[in-house]
Amino acid sequence: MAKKDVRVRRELEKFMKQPPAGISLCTINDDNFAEMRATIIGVAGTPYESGVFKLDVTITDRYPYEPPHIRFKTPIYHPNIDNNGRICLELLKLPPSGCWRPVVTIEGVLLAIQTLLCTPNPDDPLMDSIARQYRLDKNEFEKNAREYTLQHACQSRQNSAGTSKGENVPLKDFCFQDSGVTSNNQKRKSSDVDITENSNKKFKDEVL
Amino acid sequence: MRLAKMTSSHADMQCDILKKFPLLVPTSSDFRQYEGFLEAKNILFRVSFVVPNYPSCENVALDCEWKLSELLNYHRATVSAWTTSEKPFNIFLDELLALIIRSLEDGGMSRLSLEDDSIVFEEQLDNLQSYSIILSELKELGTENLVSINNDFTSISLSFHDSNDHSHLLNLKLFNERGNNRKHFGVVDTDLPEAVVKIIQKDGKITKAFRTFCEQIEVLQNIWTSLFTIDQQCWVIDPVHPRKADMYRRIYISPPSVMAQISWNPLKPNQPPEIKFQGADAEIDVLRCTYEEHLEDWGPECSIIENLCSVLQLSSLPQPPPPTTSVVSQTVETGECIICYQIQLEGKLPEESCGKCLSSFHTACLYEWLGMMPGSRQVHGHISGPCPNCETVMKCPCPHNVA
Repeated sequence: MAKKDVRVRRELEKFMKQPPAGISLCTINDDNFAEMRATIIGVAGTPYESGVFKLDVTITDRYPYEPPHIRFKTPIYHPNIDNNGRICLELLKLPPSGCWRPVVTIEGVLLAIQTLLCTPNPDDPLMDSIARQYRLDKNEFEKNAREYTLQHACQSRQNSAGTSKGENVPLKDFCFQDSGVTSNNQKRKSSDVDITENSNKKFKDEVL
Repeated sequence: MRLAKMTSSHADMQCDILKKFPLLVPTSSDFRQYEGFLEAKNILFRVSFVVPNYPSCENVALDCEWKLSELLNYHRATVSAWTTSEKPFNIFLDELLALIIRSLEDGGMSRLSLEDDSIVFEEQLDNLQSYSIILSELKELGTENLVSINNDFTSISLSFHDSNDHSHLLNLKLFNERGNNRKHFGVVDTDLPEAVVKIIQKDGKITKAFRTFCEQIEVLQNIWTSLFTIDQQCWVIDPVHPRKADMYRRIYISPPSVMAQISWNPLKPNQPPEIKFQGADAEIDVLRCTYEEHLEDWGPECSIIENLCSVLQLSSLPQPPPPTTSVVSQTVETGECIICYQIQLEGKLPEESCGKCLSSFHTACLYEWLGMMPGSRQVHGHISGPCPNCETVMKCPCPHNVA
């Protein structure tokens, strides 16, 4: 087995036994550690709350001498992540511009990305306009980021309903409302629902 | 002769002290304890001294009123330096008095001026009023719920027995706001989720907060029952040590690639939990479709496991593996190369180690990394550069030379 595979397998074993909160990691192809899929759940209290963000993790044969290549597959509104999902994070780059070291693990990198979602770094932006907005009008930034999350990163309609309405929704109302949202093919009624349909489609498109 | 001399020097010292400090009297026959006042600039400071090594002032302990301790606060280092010397006690007193006078002249006087007394008095009055408010609120609550309260009424612990016979603690911290005779309080510790704590904190009165606390606990009972069932019957991977405040569980749906995070909103306890899937795309998409299709089957009267099985169209949920004795807490085990995670690599053991952090490396692994580092230098078959773990500069021989 290649040197890289031994290490990645060990990292995965540890990850399966003690996964960090809100992060998952799995291989796409069982006998190949080159391509992996990670998901990060947006931390409560941030505009990314209740979003599930998918990331592509590519491990080159040079790993761990080279950092893993990680990209967001789910669109996200963030000063340090661009439209193509590229992430601006020092840990993902080799010295001298970055601070990758072979003792850092894939889990460590994913944790760093989760932290980046909680605390954007507008001083080293990839998206200038978002960084400016983050600095000058944080409320507007958070509003946009939240909308973006609802649109692209929420898995079911339940999330969007729950987040947009602040107060208690009685169980019976909730069930009735949701009975319309059964499958992707079914026709939906309210505009609220349409957003999810679109986002579901987007998900599908991304996957295919 | 020597004894006589000692005694006479003792007598001299006592005379000296008595003359200069008439208000300070020894309270023990061996002159090791003194009580009384020090007078400086017509202000009397209540003091008591313990002089364990009389006649030397070594390890003197000074107990004094707050005004004097406030004054001496700025000279704490000086005074404690004296108490480690072997200065005679009377000289110590002289110097202490001089120090007090000096700091009074330096403006310490104004800090201690009489206006402070009135503020102190008002503060005490405020405190008294707030104490009586707290007491009346506690009386209203009934003592059976009170677990503990500290002397100055700054922390209160209340408990509640719920309908399932579990007891829950509510620890409150009270703090004063000047000019307002009400104490504010914050919840320090409780087993409720944060969102609920915010609701409790909103109420200004302790009685009302406690009532909200009890109500919320009863409201959360159903969620806790479901969480407990999941803990018992599913393969939970996160949180590792669930607390009552944790309103979510991440479980395996089909290990190791598909998991679901089930989370309840404590503010909407009657809603079905939100389920998020994580793992490989293809499997997740199928699951999510199934879930959305069968969401209406969620029955509030069914158990959480029945509900999960029915919305996910599964006959059962995976069980946790039997607990293993070997717990992998670290990715790398001691002795392994922290780059390749192996002990043996092409027949070689990790031979290099960092002098500072003691990490081990195979010569080949370390050499390869150091060779990539900007600024690393190769001299006489050795390469030097930063340790991959702690960045201390370390040396590594060229593996080809070693072979």
